[in-house]
Amino acid sequence: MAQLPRLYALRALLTRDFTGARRWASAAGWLSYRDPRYALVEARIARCEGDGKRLQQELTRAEHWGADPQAIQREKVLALAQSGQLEEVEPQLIAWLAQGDAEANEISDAYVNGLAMIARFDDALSVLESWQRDFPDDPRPEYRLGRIQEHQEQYAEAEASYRRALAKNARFPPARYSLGRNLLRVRRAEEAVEVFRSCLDIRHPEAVQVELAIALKTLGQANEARPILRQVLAADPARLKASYVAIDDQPEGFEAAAEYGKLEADAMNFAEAEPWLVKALEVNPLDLISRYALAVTLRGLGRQAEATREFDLVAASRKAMDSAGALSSRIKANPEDLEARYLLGKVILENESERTGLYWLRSIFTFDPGYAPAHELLADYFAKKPDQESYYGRLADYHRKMAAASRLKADSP
Amino acid sequence: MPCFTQSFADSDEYCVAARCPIGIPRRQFALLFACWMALAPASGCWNSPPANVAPQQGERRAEAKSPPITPRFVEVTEASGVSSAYHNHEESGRRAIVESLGGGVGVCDYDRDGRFDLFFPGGGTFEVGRPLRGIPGTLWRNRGDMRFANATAAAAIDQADHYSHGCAIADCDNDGFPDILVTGYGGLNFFRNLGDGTFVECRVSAGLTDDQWSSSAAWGDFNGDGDLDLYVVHYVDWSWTNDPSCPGPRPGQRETCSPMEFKSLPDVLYFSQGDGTFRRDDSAIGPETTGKGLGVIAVDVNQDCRLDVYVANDTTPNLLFINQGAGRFEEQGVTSGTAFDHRGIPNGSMGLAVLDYDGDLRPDLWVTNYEKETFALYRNDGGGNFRCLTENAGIAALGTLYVGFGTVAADFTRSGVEDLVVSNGHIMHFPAYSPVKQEPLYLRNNGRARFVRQTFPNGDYFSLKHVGRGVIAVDLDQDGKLDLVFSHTNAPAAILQQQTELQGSWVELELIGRRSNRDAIGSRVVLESSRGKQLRMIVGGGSYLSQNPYTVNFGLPPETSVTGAQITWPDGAVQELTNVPTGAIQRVLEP
Repeated sequence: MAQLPRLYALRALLTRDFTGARRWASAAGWLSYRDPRYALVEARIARCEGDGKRLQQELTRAEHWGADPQAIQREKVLALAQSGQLEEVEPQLIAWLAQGDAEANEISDAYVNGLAMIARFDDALSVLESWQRDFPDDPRPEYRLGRIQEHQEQYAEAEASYRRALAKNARFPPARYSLGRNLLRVRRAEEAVEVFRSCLDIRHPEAVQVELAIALKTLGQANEARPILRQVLAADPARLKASYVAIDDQPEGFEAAAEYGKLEADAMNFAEAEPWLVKALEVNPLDLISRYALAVTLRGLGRQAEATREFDLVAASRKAMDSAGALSSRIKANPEDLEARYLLGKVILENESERTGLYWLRSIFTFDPGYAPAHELLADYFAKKPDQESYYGRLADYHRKMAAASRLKADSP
Repeated sequence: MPCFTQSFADSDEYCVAARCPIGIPRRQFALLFACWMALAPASGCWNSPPANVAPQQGERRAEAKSPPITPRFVEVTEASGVSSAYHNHEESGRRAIVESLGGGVGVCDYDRDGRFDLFFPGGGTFEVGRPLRGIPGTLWRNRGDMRFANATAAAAIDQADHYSHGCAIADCDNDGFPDILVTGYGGLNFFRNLGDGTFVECRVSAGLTDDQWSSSAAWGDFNGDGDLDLYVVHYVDWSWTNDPSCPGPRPGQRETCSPMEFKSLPDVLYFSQGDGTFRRDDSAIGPETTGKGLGVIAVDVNQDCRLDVYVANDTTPNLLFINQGAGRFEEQGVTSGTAFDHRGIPNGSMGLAVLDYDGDLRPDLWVTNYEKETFALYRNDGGGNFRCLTENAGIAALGTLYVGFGTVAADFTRSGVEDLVVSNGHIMHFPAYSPVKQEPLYLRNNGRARFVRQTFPNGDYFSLKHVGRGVIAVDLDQDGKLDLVFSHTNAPAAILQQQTELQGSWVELELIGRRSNRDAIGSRVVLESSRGKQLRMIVGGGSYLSQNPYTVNFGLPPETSVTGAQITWPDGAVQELTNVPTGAIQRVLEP
């Protein structure tokens, strides 16, 4: 009886309709009380949403209800895989895929995402190739390929991939949203506006609305962007967060507040701009774009000393980032220049983006899993943020141990 | 021993030729030639009535705003006789970064016959590991009717001691004849105009012994003594011993390196000593303040009657030197809001222009940038503060794939507002995002502080792709319509004659400083008409590696009557003109 809603839940998950998936999962749970398959579906929803805490709760519940331990283990493996922690789980993933596992598309999705997170793009492309071949109707392989191409600044190729994904499923929200974002990157703002407008029919459109407002702002249509951003900022924060999950994006900062603050600063509505820019910086202190807008705002409010302090912070960070270009060139010339990867990761981590900094630092382990300076820096980073994610403490310990082992190995005769 | 020329700023007499006591024999015909040129205006070659003449007949009161006019620029290069192509020696395949800058174009009336002549730096050649060689620039004498004659050899300007890039032209000795400075790798060439139709190279005797890699330069009186000083922009520390091999898209392919591979060089500042020589004093700008400079413009941004300097840097923050008086500067790029773009990010900045795009009578700054960035429009909020309003002005909607270099702001269509022209072209040989050759841009100001890209018919210069670098706007044929001159890398420069069917009229003023520098650099002119006021600033430098004329041009929409003009001279003295002629160039002497 509960089989059908469970299948619908999984189908909703394919298009990242988490609200729909949860509704169907609840129906399944209501129809079949204490069914471990229900808890496993809930766990998968939590995993796909990137909610580690809830994933753990659901897996514990599934275990209590007598779920197949292998199914529980699978979700744990896929969770590690999709977050780029492939060290321990990669052999298992490869084995599953080699065996022609019935859930090969789920496994591929998590695996490709994880590989991309640690910059193993060639490996990711190999997995993608099989995934595309085995699941020709699934839009996700094309979408994931587009994400990798977009990351590598191959914008034309990314656009083509997103469009191929949409040809398979015209309503696949992540591909539609990413297509719009990609168009915006190359300043085809008018086309981006059209794409974003076509995305507004999703259940939680707030994230799309923010990008639509950015595109309108790019076109100089601030007066159209303003009410959209106000609407988003008035929404429930949980809804806003859910809207980003639905389109497979996770901004590091409070994008809506930052954009609204900048818009008002541009319009010389400095008093209106200030609180939103402050909020944006509370969420992401490394948001230099908001910090610069705040400096301009404070100057406009006549608070010159505060403005100068913010201007100086931006200038110092930009100066520190001066080296980034040369380091990128070094990496382009020699991808195995681990020192360059380390220095680039460090300077970005400290000055511009924690996520991007972590990406560059982790990319080192593709070439040298024991590169001690990167392990030490990562250990320090995760140790400073034990409350941010449940697994950060474990990661800090892991990197500390790896660093120590590498140092020991280097010191031994 | 310096090149020395007596200043005749107070006499407006051109009949005494320049003297150059460095062993150059003075030619017998110099006096006669110079006198002939000075007399040319009286014979009608120079259509410049005296100040305070009555408005032309037929001028009517303003009416409702005119619809936008599509400008028409026709390339007349071949017919003009101008044949000049900047050469960077890219055939070497070395892809050295020195090849990427290209060359500019300059305009001046070197022989004072009342017509604007053209100068193009030549570029250079090289062998790896050996000193770079220069190719002489070319000087083209305007014979009228859009025809030019090569005057390079006759003017004795066929000398190139360095691999050249740009030119900055001004009457730096106040003798009535424009002098030409050429920038480049390894040093400057300074051609003093002798007033007899010839030049003499005298960088050493003038003290302009900078030996670094210079790109653009700007003349301006930075210490208010009435003599023109010189700001020279430096790029990066490339040399044959610092020439990394940067990979192209294919294995073994060599590509031009990013400027990020190199360290910036500090700029230099020369102060005129009033005797034809210059004294270098980098402390005035703070030698620790550096950037990878490509463009420079000297303009009084905060309107305190002290000439400020804005420098466009490539990948490093742009610099705004606010003049504190007596030739001392304080760098305020970051706090003024002009160092970064609208996102607080330093851009690959190249070209510069000053305009008043929103009609608030404050000079705004316009910067062309590298691909994947937007060009930047900095609105002047007053008090030395700017906001980058690129998005609000519609500039961000252009796309980010242009590599913008030279740029000029002018009212080409007599709409009453200034439009923008940008010369584009890549520096890379295998660019990933945009082509090597790119279309230039004409951005029409819609009169409501927004710009719209103007489209042109197929086959038009603006519809074709070029490796563009410098651009200037100047009325070459004296028909009251601003023409355009573009320089390209390894391709002939283009002369575009404006043939738009224009309504309305125009005002062009040539300011002649007497207490101030003769070119009146640093002056501010506000034209008052039945449609309101328009601002023009006389700036040093600007565009990219190029020199625009120092005359100021105002477009007047149909049925607009001019009620007067207010000139603020560099020293702050204000001159009111009550009768300003339209449809003619007016020469205005500093009282």
